[in-house]
Amino acid sequence: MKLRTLVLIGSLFALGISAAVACTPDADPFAVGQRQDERIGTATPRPLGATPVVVDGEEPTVDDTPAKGVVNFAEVNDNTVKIVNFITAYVIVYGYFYTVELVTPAGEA
Amino acid sequence: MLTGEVDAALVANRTEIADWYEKNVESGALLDLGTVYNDQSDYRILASPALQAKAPEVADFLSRVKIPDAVVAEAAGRITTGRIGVSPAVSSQIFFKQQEAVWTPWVDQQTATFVRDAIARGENSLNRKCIKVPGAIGMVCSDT
Repeated sequence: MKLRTLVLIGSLFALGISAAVACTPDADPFAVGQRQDERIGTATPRPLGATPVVVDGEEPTVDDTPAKGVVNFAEVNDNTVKIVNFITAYVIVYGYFYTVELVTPAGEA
Repeated sequence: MLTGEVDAALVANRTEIADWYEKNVESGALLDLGTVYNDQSDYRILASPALQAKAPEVADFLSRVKIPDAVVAEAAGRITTGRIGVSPAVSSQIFFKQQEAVWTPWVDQQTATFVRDAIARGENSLNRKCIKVPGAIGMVCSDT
């Protein structure tokens, strides 16, 4: 019984060492055989900014209408309030172009 | 609302705040814009006069919002929490797509078109600074 336990623990330890070695930050899990030659570059991070980047020549959809002002709605931890707030806020944001902030009044948090 | 912290509370139970409600609505410190339910409902849309002053079209819109009880209950009932929960944003998208007959009477045709366009673009946030770019994964957000 003790021998079996020792063998089991030994196997798990070896498996853990293998996984740790295989998953080092520099390791490419797909760099095997032919794939090793094909993966020659890394993706260039694209910063997020106010101007969207056009991908594949498509025209971006830009919603650049400035907000007319800010409207604050009282939000409490109740699903009915949350859904009514969100539905009406959505129309106000995208239909009337105001910014809506859902504010939890003091004492309601 | 009286302190200016919020401009409106859309589902305020006036029976729970009867004295406060009567005093402030009568004095004009608060506006009762109606209810999202039936006209006799105690759940009122309360707004500050400041909202009427700074966004009269919003106050006017809020006074027209009506959602059948069953539709509100269904949409609220969809909301769940957790990693795979349904957020109010997702439940709202379903509402807008399935209940056009309910929400389009609240707004004029042009506003309805703006809202439909936002839904078609996949806008599911209240933050308009995030925009959907065709071909890109997810949303592109302004950092300004």
